[in-house]
Amino acid sequence: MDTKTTTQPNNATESDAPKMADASAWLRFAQIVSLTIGAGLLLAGIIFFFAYNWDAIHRFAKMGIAAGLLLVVFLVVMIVPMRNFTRNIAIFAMCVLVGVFWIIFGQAYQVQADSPTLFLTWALCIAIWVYVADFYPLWAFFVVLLAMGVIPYNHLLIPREGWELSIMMIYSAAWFAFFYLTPRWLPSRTEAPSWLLNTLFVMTYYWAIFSMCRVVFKDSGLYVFIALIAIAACIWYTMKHKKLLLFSWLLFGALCLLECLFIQLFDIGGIVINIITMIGAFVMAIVLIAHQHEKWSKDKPGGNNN
Amino acid sequence: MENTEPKKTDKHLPWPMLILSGLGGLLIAVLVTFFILMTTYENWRTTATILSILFIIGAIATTQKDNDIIAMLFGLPLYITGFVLGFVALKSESIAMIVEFIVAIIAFALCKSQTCRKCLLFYILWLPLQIGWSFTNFHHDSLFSSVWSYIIVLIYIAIFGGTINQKRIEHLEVDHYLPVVRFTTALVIGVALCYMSFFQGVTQFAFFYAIAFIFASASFAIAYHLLSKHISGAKLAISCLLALLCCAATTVYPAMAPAFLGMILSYMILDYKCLTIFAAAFIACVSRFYYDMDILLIHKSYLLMGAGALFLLIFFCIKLLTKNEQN
Repeated sequence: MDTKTTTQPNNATESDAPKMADASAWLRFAQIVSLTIGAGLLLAGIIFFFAYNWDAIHRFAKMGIAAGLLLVVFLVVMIVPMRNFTRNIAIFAMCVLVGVFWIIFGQAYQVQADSPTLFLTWALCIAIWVYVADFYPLWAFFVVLLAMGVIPYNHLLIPREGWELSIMMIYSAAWFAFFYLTPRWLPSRTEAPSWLLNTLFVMTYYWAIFSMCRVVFKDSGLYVFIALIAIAACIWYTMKHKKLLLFSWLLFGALCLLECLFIQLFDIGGIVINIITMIGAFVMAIVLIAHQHEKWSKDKPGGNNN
Repeated sequence: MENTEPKKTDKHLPWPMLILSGLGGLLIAVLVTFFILMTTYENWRTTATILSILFIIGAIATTQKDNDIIAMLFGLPLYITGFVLGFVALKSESIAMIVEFIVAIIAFALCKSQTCRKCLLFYILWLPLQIGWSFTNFHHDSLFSSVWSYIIVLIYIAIFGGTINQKRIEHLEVDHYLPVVRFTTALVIGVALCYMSFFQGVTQFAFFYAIAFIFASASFAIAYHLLSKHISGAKLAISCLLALLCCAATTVYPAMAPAFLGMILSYMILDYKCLTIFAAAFIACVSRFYYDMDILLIHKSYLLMGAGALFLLIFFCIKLLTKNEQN
């Protein structure tokens, strides 16, 4: 629901007066802020309370409290009628409580589990709720959680040295492909927001660039081809969707790779050549962006290419 | 109807170019600094100072016209290189920052490129906080740093609030710079609040609570002003009481009150970027509250639970009041 008082067109310039919130916008703000801050502070207070009394509480009571809270929030989500946003916040809180339960379980029974195992277990337990909620901040939380559970085990996944960066690149690329393609294949799913796609894009691209930088200074392997495929895919996506911000990131990555190449070729003695060529490359990059911006502006008049 | 947009789009290029220009300029600045260090062993400070002055003069000279391409290609990289060399050349960090602050103000006055002026403005607003911290070598557990951070927060919240009422500052013709001012002040406030929270004595000194009281009062004043515009009678009285309790609850921890006020001010002009910054600062401050050693954990727990319950009570009251109105 758009509550902005938009009396000016969407492409208002910086010099126009800012849009001010009206009564309905303030009402919505008051509801969201009071609910979010209230729930957050109450939860924080409860956590602090248990932290203080931790040693005095029996392990069954500890787990019972965590499980009880989880059950209460679950029942609220299932039974109480509420807006989608409120329901999503409640599901988020439920997913956090799952982690709290596993932490308490791990402490109570001294299972000797390491952090990645905890995060992996946590992520697997909340996967279905994350999918059902279709709430992208929760998806972002899930992606990070799963990464903390999977990436530390990459030494079991990599065939040989040099693949560590590629594993992270493949992980980011897989999630990017998932969020990009799922709304197209499953119409019931909402479109992923640009902040999530852009973040995953940048992560994928820069892990690929770091892999290529590794090639410059050390050895090469099959992972080079995977990195090149990822870079090609990033370029294709940027040119297809005409995103100037991503185009800028592409060029900066290219500058970084070029710099690594120059350092390897020229060493300390050729620093003057390095500076001159970097300045030239930088100027070219700026000119390219300006040219692309002009071209895409003509294709999409009044649109936002960022 | 004439459409003047294409001209404006051509003149002022998008901000992704600014990112590349800034990062590229930084890369060149590092390379040039490294080159100076490698080639001039004993007199490198003198060389760096002279080059720094030359680069900044060059930057000012190239930005005498409001042309974004020239600004991106030459102006910004020259400014960045000049400032980096200047910082490296001077022995003391505090003196370096003070000198750079003065130079940045002079450059802002002389430069004609809007893009470069916005970047200089960002730097000018960013430096005061750093200058104060530099006097204690950036030690986070320092009373001076903490007090300085809170004073900067107070001043910058006032600046942020001042940019909202554009009619009052219309005569200054600063419309183009207001988004930069808002974003930078919000960012500096967020960083200052997080840094301030590292100091262990935040809840010990009355000074911090006194300033938090000022922030809470300002939040209540804004809430009262907004409520009185839209409701009256008994509803206004109840709403004001709830708003008063809500604002008072934010003084539980001194760093929370300015973050809350910032959120209200940001939402007033629907600036979601600044709202996100202030919300993140609020969450960070609550997290830092856990590590405060001057209050027992159990007391902190009661304070937070009480504040949380109060906010939830306000939420349900709002739901009740709006439901009654709809009926």
